[in-house]
Amino acid sequence: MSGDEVAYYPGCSALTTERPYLRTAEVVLERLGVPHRLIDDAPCCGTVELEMVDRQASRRVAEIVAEVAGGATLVTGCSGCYGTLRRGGAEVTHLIEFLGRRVGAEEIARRVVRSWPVKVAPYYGCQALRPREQAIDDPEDPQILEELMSAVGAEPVDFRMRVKCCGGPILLRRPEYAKQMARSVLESARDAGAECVVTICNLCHFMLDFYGGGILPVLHATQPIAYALGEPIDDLGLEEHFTPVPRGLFRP
Amino acid sequence: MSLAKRVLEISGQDVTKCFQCAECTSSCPSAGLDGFYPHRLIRAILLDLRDEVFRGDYKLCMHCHLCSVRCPVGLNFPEVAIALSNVETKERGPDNVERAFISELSKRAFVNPARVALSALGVRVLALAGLRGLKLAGMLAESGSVREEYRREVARVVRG
Amino acid sequence: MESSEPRVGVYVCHCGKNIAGKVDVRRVAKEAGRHPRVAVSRDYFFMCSRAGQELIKRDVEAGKVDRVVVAACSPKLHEPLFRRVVAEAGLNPGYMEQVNIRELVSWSTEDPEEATRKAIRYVLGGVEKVLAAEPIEVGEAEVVREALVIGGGVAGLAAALDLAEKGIRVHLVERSPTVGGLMALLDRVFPTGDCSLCILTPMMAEAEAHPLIDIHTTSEVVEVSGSIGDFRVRVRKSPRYVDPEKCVACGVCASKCPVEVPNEWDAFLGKRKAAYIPYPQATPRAYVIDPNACLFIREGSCGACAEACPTKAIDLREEPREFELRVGAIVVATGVREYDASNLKNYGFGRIPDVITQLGFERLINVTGPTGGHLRRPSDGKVPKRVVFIQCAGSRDVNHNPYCSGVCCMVSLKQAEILRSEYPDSKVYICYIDMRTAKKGFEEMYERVRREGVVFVQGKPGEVWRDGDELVVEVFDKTLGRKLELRADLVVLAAGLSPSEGTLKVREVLNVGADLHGFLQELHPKLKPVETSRPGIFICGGAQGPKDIPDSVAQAKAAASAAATVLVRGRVEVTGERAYVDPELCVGCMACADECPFGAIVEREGRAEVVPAACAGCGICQPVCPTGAITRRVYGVEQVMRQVAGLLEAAPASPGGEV
Repeated sequence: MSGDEVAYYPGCSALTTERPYLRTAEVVLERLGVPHRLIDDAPCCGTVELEMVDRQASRRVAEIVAEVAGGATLVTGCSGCYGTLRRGGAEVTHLIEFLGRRVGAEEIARRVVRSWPVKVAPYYGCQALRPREQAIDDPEDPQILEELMSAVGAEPVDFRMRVKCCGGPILLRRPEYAKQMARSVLESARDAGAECVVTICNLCHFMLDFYGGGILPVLHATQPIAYALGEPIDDLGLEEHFTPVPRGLFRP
Repeated sequence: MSLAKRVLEISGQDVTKCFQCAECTSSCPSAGLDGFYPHRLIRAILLDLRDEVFRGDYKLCMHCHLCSVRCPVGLNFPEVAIALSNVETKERGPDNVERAFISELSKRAFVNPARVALSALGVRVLALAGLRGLKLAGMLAESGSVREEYRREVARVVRG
Repeated sequence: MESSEPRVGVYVCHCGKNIAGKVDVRRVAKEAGRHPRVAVSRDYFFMCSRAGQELIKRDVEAGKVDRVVVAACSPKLHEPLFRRVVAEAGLNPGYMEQVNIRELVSWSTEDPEEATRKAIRYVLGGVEKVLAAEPIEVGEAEVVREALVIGGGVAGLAAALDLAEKGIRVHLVERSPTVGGLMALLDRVFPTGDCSLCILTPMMAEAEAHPLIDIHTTSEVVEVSGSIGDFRVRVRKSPRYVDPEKCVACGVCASKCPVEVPNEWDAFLGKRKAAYIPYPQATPRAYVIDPNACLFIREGSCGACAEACPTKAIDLREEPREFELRVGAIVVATGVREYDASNLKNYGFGRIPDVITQLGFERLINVTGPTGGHLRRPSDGKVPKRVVFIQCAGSRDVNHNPYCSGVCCMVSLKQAEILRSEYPDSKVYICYIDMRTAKKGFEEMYERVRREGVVFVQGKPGEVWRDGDELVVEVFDKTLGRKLELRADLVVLAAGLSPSEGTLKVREVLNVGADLHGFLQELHPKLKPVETSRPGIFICGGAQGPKDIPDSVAQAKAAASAAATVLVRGRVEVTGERAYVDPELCVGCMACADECPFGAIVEREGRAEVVPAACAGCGICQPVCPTGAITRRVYGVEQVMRQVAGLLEAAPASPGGEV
């Protein structure tokens, strides 16, 4: 069931460590004129850890989240939640797919009031692309985020780690190795000449922003989009990032 | 029942399809970590080598699914790992990371990453985080505002 | 039982264990024997054997039965045989009904009890059907002693030459501007290492010069009607824009042509002009204009080639034309193409210039290729020092081609051998799942290449990426038990073989069967390897399945021989298993003719009429007829309805059984 209204499911992290993602996602939907409501009283998706404990329980939690959305289109900006909910059988759309395919990069480009001319490394991570059945674009060579970044005036760079893992899923089991993976994503983006990375997942963002060693600023994809649609720099939540975001990145 | 059969029942993944090309392991970002090799686990499942399978290294699967989109016989290894974990949890209970999640889920139906990290990693989290940990500490109190009826239902489901 | 009523004989075949291992054949025969019209019901080990045939014949000749039901394998396999058996015993072949209880029952049903009940029902359906049978007239028709060969690769050429040598006129239709096919693009061929063009060009020249072979290049078969002995074939010839009779292949047109496009004849690794010749040995040896690239044809400008041509061979206004051929038999040799490696995102083909395919490698070491036979990598023209081959890059893979292409292991061995002999400093790795070297001389070659110092890594790579001007191949070495990052200058993908576009298209035109992947289907995998479901149409080479050159040629010769059997005899049996029109009922609406895929129905005096030789007996006409005037003999409405009734009535009240 998918009505005209979007029910936005932020994921737990977007209510704690990743608040700027939720804020700018709502701004983007607002400025694009998409009717939406926030469902912040729904439970956690359970993440892959609940699947690891009990596949059936994970399916039931996905059901509950879908129930909360009611007849609205369930959308989430977190790839982790997206993957878990999809595997649990819920009908859910990734925010980036919603923006890139339902709204369309061209429509967003039309509404841009100021360009964001930055060399950016669009980072996909895993859960929005794989497994194949839940891919929002080609599982190994996606373009949807590049299209959105180009629409707001950015110059996307190609880098080796763009569809690789951020290390998040084994952070609590092998923290040193997970950190090393997060760093390698940022190093790869830096070596490709990017000024910053954009992410489309709460966990990816946390890993790169918190454990990435401060190699590059790490933005949520919705931050530059909100900026390009006219949102003031001060309202992008940049100061909440763990790795400082130079204000120069959003030059007028 | 053989492990292969149990995996098939839980996940729908038929490991007998595997012809051991090792493209999964070639693609795996965790390969080699603590002796974790996806293709070898599949082999161990086929041979029903329970001790080898439940050494625990399958938990190093990052669920990145690079293997599953490339697997020439269409096997989904992360689903296999989930099935193994379901079997193991049933027999031996959840590991400490899973327990940290379960505890958050059943208490609040909300997972505060800062709190889960602290409970799974202990003070090590601070060593890992450095100064940033201070910023994280401020978030420990966040519990979301999950509606009571959902919270109860999740607690019921999670506790099984 | 009155003597005027038909008496049915039922013959249940064990097919060794094939049927009897699952179906209780005795019970089937016993149950069938209870039917009031069944006079005799028997079972036997092999009905198709001499002794089995005699069982049927004896009952017919003794007057015990005058209708026959054989419950055995698929009619596709033995229907002609059993029809002949009853005919030899003096019965009209229309009175024989074969019921398939092997493929449809024993092979495809798990539970023996269910299989037995199913077999009983099928047999009783067959009994009812044969009771409504009408005799069929068997006749003979004249054969047009000419053949059509579709596709001018090595298989098509071999078939054409064999047919012509038997004195049969051959029309060879080829889509591209030259015959020669894929083989003409290869450098050397395994396992002997002889030069591909050196053995192919004499065949090309011989076919061109042969008085009994007409080669039609840039041509496609667009419609085939009729049937064995008399096919009507419509051929569409696209303009070449160059008269091959006048062209002396001087190349002035190409030198004047301002348009450059990637060259498909070089696996897109080189460029060609809009006016070009595929390669110097192309046959006919004439240039051709690419209408998708030519400025004059696209927008009316330029025309420099036509002006410059010293023999005035170029006509940029040439139009396509169509013509008809009449032939008695058709050999299909439409071949294969290399699998599109750009689907292999993880190996970077199409994104990373120095990742090429085996066909690309052939072009890069071939003197007729874009580098004049000197191996240069595409990105910077450097001679690659380290080359990694990735096997099964598109084959044996459910995401690509699930089958083994059968040639790629040998192709990589050959290419590795060439590398080591021509570039002795080169380091060569072959990453593989299984090396498949099962044929004559192949294992010896594998050993030779190992001793050349080529390193074989067992393990399928996950990914290829670029690190500066190097490539990195990430592969788990199963023997070593750890991941390697092989540094390379060039990566060659063994992308395998897919049906060619021609193969995919011709299947629609010919109405012959194909497998899941689009390769044309032989009638029987062992006993009818070049025949198809449509009599008179034969298949060979890559069109039938991926294969190497020797197998393609062997199969082409078999197809030519099978086609010649029809053509040399000069007459063909027309079975009478076809559509008939009841003139009393036909209103002349011609709905049947619109549906007929074989153009076998014509209008005569306001009514539909079936051309016996053209009707393939498919029965498509039957359901569209508003008055029921047209029926397909042996599958008439009455027969099929009774068969269905037989199936349903036969539902036994067996213990716990459900219907």
